[in-house]
Amino acid sequence: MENDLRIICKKFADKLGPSFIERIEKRIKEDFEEALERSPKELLIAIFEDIHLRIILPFEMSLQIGTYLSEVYDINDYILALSEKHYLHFGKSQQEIKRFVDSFYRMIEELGLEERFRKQEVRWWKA
Amino acid sequence: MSSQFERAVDDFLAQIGQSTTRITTLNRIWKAFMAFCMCIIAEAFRQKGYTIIPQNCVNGFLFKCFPAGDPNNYSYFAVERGNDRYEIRLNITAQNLQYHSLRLNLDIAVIRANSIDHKGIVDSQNNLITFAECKNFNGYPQLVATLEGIVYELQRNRLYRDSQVNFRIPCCLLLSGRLGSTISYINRRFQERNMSIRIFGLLQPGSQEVTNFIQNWF
Repeated sequence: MENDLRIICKKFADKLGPSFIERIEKRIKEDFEEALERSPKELLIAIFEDIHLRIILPFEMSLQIGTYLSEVYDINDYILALSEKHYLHFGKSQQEIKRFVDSFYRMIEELGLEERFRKQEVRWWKA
Repeated sequence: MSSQFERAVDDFLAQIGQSTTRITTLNRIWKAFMAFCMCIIAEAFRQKGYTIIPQNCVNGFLFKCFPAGDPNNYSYFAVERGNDRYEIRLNITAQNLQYHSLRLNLDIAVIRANSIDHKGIVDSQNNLITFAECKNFNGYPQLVATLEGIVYELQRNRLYRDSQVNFRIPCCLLLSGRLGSTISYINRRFQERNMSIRIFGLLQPGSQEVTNFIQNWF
């Protein structure tokens, strides 16, 4: 079991690169390889926490922004301008984003961590 | 470990690198938090009876998520109630012209309508109603020190006891992550002294904290 988790941790590290590993090390205040050896489950949870906060939540926010603008102001497209030349056309990528976010929560469910990373879809503008 | 979990991991990782999830995008997607905060700020005004009118959005709402660039080329919210006419804008440069303070970029600024000058600067002494700094991570004390430094340069009277009498809408630090005990303590101190500065954490889609912010910010 632990070896399998080590393989999973390695997969994330390989895919997301050295800056990701550095960020995880900062988060857990421990060397990645040492944490991998000592407690791969703790390391994997730290990996999920980082991905959740830095990637998944902003994508979920972008989904909510789209719904908010559409339902309250009848605006059906929106773009994040990251610089004068780099635009993210999120209004047109909603399905792709949703699939990505859902696939994150499927991993979480399979590992039994739903309580820790709960997907929330409350419409705060209806409160 | 179930093979279903492994399949779920492989499915997730396989999507990274595709058009919307390129690594360059993933490294900058945190800026969506700024846009999200702009929307909850607009909603806080809307739920207090202000009329919100999106501007410059004929081809969709264009969020200005970087400091440079002409603010008038991007979308913003116009806010109106009685004689109050404000604008909620992203990434605005502000300066206290009376004290020749530093020119600082604000993540979100609520300013008097039509108060951006020809250089793209807002006079914080006269035209800055409130502002918010947005951080997509857990809080740590240095963030509060940075906020206090910005306040000192732009509207230093907010740092005094009972400043909320003159600055009705607190400027704030908005975090997607947890506040932590030290920052919670500092935030309580701001409130006990009736200072016009607040810190809000766990601002995540659908969380109770978002509703709390909308209802209790001012």
